[in-house]
Amino acid sequence: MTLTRRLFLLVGVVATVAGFAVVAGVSLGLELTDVFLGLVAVLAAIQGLRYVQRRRDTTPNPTVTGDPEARVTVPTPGSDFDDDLVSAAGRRTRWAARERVVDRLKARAKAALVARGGRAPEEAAALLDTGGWTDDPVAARFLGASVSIPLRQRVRLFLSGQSSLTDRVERTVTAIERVGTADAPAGERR
Amino acid sequence: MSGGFDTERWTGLDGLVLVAAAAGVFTREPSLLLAAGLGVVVLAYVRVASIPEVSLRIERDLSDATPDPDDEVEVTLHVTNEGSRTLFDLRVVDGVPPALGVDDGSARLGTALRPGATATATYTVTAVRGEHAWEETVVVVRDPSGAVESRETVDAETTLRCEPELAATADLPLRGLTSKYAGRVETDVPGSGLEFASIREYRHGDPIRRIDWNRRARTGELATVEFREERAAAVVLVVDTRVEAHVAPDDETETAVERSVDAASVAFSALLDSGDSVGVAAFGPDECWLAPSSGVDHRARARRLFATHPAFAPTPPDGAFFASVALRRLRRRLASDAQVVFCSPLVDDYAVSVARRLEAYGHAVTVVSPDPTATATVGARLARIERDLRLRELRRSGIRVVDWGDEPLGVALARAEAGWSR
Repeated sequence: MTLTRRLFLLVGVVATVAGFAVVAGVSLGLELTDVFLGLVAVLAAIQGLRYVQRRRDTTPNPTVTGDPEARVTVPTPGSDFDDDLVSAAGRRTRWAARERVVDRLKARAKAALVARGGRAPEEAAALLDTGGWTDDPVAARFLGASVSIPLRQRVRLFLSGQSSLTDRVERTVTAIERVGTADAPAGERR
Repeated sequence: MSGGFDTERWTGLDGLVLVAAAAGVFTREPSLLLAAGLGVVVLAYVRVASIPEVSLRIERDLSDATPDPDDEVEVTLHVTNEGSRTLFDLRVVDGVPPALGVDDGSARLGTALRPGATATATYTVTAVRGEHAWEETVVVVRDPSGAVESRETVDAETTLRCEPELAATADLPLRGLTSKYAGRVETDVPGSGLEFASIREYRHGDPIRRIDWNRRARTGELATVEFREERAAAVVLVVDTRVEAHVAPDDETETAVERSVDAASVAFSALLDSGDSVGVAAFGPDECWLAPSSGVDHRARARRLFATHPAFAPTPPDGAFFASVALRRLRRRLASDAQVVFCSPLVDDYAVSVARRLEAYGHAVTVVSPDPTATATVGARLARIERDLRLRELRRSGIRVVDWGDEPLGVALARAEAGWSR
């Protein structure tokens, strides 16, 4: 590395001295022929393009300052769940995150059935399995019940354009919110 | 030349110069060669560019160093060039304390500064409870071409101290666990008091005032009227200051810890006014303990503690926290007859277990829980459901819970009290 650099440096110094000599009127037997000029132009262009390429590889590093004006920000409760939802849509982290989402929703649905719906824990687990805890088939299905979704609803879900997972989680959360309130399903369906 | 660094801003210009020169030679176009020559001049300038020794004096003036909460404080930043050279491109970013937000003006300054000259920036912050120290001011100096920069920090110590008055704006109802001193908590212990409890057979030494003379007239027997004894309680206000408790529904709203500390300071004042002895503790990485006591000195100590103790700072702590060790230490400090008022947003299950364990150890626990949940996202809605389930779990295990939403604390307390049965 250093040897080639030294060599190039020597060539450069010689060329520069020769150039000054030509300017001063010393004839070195070199004519400004088209071939010579072309050669110089090509060499300069190649070296120039190398430098430009190097620029593309370096990122400028100006000083970046923080935002001291803003108050310190703290998370909103539930932001971890939102993060999980985002990674459940990502390619690499999909399965683990998806499992976390479903597990958490399942646990909360069960807890809500016990605490707000007044069910016994076993009863709540059974309701989750049959899907009878909600009248939203999408939510019931999402938490593991084998409920069929009507074709019309499937088409509408497909056309809604929202990510199917986000939409289903949203509906499941709404269904859990409604557990124990007046518009919850009165008893077990089917 | 002080420790400047290359910003890589002009990297690649040499390439453009060479390409322009090559094109000029190839096309025999003198203007292109001339442009390349200009580029060489710029390159030469960049090569020799440097920044002078930076010597700045920074002073900061506050319009009020000890404001009340929500007061607007005007901050004036004076930057003086004490060096001997002109700074052509000076950028100053003031280190506003993390808990304070700039409302008006800018905490930044960009200017050129001659030797001895002073530049000024003015901005306004809104005071919040706590002791806020300004951090280091960041100074960035660049040479005119932007090829070399230097980043330095200058410290100008400034502290804003905001200590709210402890005002009892709401009355905190206590549970039945009391100390042996007279106070205002009605117990089921018969004795002297105001509310009738029972009548029993006269014993030698009973005060004459408490003899039931009607009964004596009717039946000829001596009987003593007993009242429910009113005693004082020893209460420890425990504030959840763990990292988990530092949550807020959005960026503008107070964090749950700030509201918890507010609730604790209101309760402190109310309980002290009614003759109970009150202590303060933080459940978090920064340790804080004020043993239950009463009196004017104690009030002043607590006021300072709520305002300036790092445990109650509005910024999340960064130290490691061993919750079970902290809980054990707290338990050792609590006297057996001490009640606990636990101020926590209840955003995780551990807060619930703290309340339940303290209750299980025989301390009557009341949880005051500021609600930090929002409804903007699915996760936020789920967090609201989870918090609601936690409140229900606590209530089911016999712990009193005050769910404090957006309303004033007094309203939340009154609503909660209406739902409690004695």
